[in-house]
Amino acid sequence: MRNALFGTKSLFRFIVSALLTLSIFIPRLSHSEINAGFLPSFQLSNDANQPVITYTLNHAMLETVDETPLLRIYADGKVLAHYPVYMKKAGDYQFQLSKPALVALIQSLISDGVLDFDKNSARQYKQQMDEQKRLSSGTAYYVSDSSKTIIKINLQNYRSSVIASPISSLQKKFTWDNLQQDAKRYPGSSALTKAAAGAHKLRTLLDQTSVPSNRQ
Amino acid sequence: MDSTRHHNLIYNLAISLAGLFISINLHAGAFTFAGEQSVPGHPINPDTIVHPSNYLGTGGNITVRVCIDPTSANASNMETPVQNNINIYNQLQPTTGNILQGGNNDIPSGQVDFESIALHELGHCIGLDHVNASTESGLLGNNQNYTKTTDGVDNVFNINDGADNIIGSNDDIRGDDVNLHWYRNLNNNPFTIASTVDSTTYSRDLANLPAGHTFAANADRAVSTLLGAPNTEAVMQQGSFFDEAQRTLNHDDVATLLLASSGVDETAGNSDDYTFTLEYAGISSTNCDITIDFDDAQTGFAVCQTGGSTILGTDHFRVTAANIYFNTGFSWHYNQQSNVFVDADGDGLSDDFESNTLGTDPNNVDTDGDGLADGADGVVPISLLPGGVDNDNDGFVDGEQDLGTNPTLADTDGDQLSDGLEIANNSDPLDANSWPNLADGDLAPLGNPDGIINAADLLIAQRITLQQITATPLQLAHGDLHPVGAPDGIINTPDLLLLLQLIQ
Repeated sequence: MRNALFGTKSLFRFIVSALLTLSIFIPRLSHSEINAGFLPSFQLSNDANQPVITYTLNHAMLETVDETPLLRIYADGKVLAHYPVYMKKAGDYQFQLSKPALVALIQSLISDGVLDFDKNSARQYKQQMDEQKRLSSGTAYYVSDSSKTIIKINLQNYRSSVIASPISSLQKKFTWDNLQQDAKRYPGSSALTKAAAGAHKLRTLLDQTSVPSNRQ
Repeated sequence: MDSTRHHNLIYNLAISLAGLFISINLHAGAFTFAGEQSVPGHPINPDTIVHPSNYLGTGGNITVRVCIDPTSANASNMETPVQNNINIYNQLQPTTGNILQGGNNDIPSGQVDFESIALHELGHCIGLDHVNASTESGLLGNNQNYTKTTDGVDNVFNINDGADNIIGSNDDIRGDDVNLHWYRNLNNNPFTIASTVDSTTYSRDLANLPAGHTFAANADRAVSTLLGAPNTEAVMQQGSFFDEAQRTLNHDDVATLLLASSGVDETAGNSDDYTFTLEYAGISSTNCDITIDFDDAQTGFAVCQTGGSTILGTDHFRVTAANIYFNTGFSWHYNQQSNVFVDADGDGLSDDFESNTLGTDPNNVDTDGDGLADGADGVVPISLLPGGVDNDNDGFVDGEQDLGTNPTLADTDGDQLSDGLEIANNSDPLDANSWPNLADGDLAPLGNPDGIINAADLLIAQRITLQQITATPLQLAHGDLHPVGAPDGIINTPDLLLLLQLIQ
């Protein structure tokens, strides 16, 4: 019990310092909130019903109700993974992340810019690069069937210890077609390369699953 | 900050103007690159037609080499499905009913058919785009089945499935969306094909639609049911289910390739027309126009990545580089049944079918030597198998596939009379109790008559008469002589007497 309490306090301090640092990178935090002295600081919620992070990969060429491998990470560190029946690892998996590991993962995704990813800017950059190449060389480029990366982050499931209501800005649904491929093709876009790095961490976590809890 | 923004504005304006300029020089259909929106408002001309690698704008036959990456996982498993795909594209044969699901295909439950997906991706790599809006439109769910378009000047896809409530059919209402799908002028039916395919018989311009139609129909499976060709879909329709095979082309796939083959003038019968041949280059990295590989870094499932360049300053492109990638994480089914028809012995059966299914010799028209051809009647001329059975006198050796006999077993019913002998003498080779009336008295040596009538035959007939041995169908066929012309099915004293007369 003492150890657990100590762990919670350490974790609390870690999150506070991390989010204080990160708060300058989170655009949706309004100036008024900051000026009013509401410093966003959080502790892990006891409510583990809602996932904090969801990661899926939708494949354009597959038409099925069960079309995607799926990773859900809950506030208590529980991780659920699902592979559809037509994948080699078909089945459902469950394992546990330690709280420090979960916080580190969230911090890492924030550092990778997943929360403040500007899709329009990234898309515009990509279009400009394509157009430049088309004009300079008379060549065009085509990618047929995409795999869409979807990352949902919902930090509302971290309960604030300072302000009463959750901060809605700490939610993000990130989507991008062919993320890993575009990150390589457009290395000049740090937003894409960083987001791809973040997605890769989640994919790595998904692929760590070994023994299914409920193999189909 | 302001100067940067100003710089960006100038840059964007320059790009936009440049895009406008190049758009003026281009034009074409449901081909890759067509309508691609590099800069908002400045897509590549929707009339753009894309040709396979190596087409330079002059006619003739072009060859496109297809390789399997030597370093690829599953390289050997891919060989037969890839060769099957190549054969399908070389035949350009339109089919209906090309969707085979569940028990109608050979795919084990829970697996994805590599050959079907590869056929789709290979289509992209020779210039074909999706016939439907697909995921790149940003539309969701079934709305992706609307016919391929750009989103028009309002930058929004306008979708309405019309009175029939079938998405992708000819009564869809699409607002200012710009059609990218080439359709048949005559009937706007993608499950039919014109005898001549070029820009006189196919259009992208909706002004040429048949009366009463409001939009170009695409070859979606729901539309196929509506138009009386159920379980049919264009290979280039994005979306496939696991446990589903789609290994042959639909009319729309073939028509789009033939449209491109009418050349840069888009008119069939001119000198810029071409034919193309996909050539299987094996597991190789040499001189490849299209390379197929498993690489998880390149795709989450399956993808074709192509580059293209314009031809002779026209609005036509040719593919300049193409790679197909698959992801290793899926339970892929690799069909190992070849569809490439090679028939070395000319018996009408493919070598692959003979070797892997029938178990017959692909280099021998009569594997079991019974005088019947391994395949069907009407294929092997009697001159190719002297002594072969031609009971119907049509000049061709009778075939085991018609007769239901085993081509690897000379005596299917085990009655010691070969299938050919029985057929030639009008008995049933599948019934051991049916034997021909040979009535020549040739019984010896026992079980293997030598064609000579002598005392040895008499001795065997005597042993049968005395019931020391039981007559076999073979012995009954040869030794049942009485009554003459209508033997009674037993060998007894009257038969002995007749046999004695034959010997004397």
